[in-house]
Amino acid sequence: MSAAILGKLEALHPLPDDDRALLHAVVGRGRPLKAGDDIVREGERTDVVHVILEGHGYRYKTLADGKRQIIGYLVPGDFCDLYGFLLDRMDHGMATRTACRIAELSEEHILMLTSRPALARALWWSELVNASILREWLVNMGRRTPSVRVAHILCELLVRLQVVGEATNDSFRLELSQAELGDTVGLTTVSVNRALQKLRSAGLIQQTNREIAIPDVAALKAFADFDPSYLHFRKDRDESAEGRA
Amino acid sequence: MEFREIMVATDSADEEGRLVLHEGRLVAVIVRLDDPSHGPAKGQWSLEAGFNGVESTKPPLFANLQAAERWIALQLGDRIRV
Repeated sequence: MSAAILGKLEALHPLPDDDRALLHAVVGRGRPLKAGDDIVREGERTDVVHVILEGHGYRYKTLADGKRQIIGYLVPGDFCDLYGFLLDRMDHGMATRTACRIAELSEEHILMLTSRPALARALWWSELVNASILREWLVNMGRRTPSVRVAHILCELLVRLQVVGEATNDSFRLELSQAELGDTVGLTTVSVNRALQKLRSAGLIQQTNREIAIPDVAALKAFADFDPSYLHFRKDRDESAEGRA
Repeated sequence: MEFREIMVATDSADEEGRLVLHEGRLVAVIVRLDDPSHGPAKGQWSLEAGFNGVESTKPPLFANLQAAERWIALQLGDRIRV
């Protein structure tokens, strides 16, 4: 059950065997949630830290008129609200998009994990990456055209799902409606539909059922202006370090 | 409100559009969704651009031009009240 978390954290920072074993013991099997369930509601307090073991979710904020903005995707291995127990109330909500299995860790668990240097660094990394993803989304929404915005999100999902073994080199399952994609990139469903159509007709993506295939990953990344360095995975850090050497 | 026929370049089958004028000024551009990729929304009218209070980040789709006119008038009315 802890495979995705280990995949995610070790993609950021290597962990000794003892730390891996501790993480495995602390995480347990988690509890199942249905698609569309709240993980933590906006404005609620949480005493536990939620970690996605299986399935996909999202972070969101709701406006007074009921409009929703999706402000992040949660994939297996992601800590939803690390240190969230410090807050009086969550400033945003988290919900499942698909059926999920979620681990719930107590403050004591987190203190136990962060008392170990390698795990502490890995968790710091994961929080830095969360903030970095948010910055990249801000740029995406503010400064990229609709089809590039959508392409960028697809590239990010491909890379994030690859590190937890949920995507192949060039494809992944995407159970994301056009309305959800619209709420993610700040576009209408009509604009999202046209953006996807443009990507399809340019041969940059292929959609069959709920599978997204990317025939030429380098071409989509180039089109999307996608530089994976904001995800800070060791693989990309090592490559850029080699590039500098 | 005046609706003037216009072809809109959307790089799709959605071409049939209207310039919507209020008191002689352009307040909106709407287009009919004719591309089959829109599925059940096909045939409805979509707000492509709005001006002076008619802009919206999440506009509804309109079943016909009358529905578009009602919604646009409401947006203009809101603006006038403010």
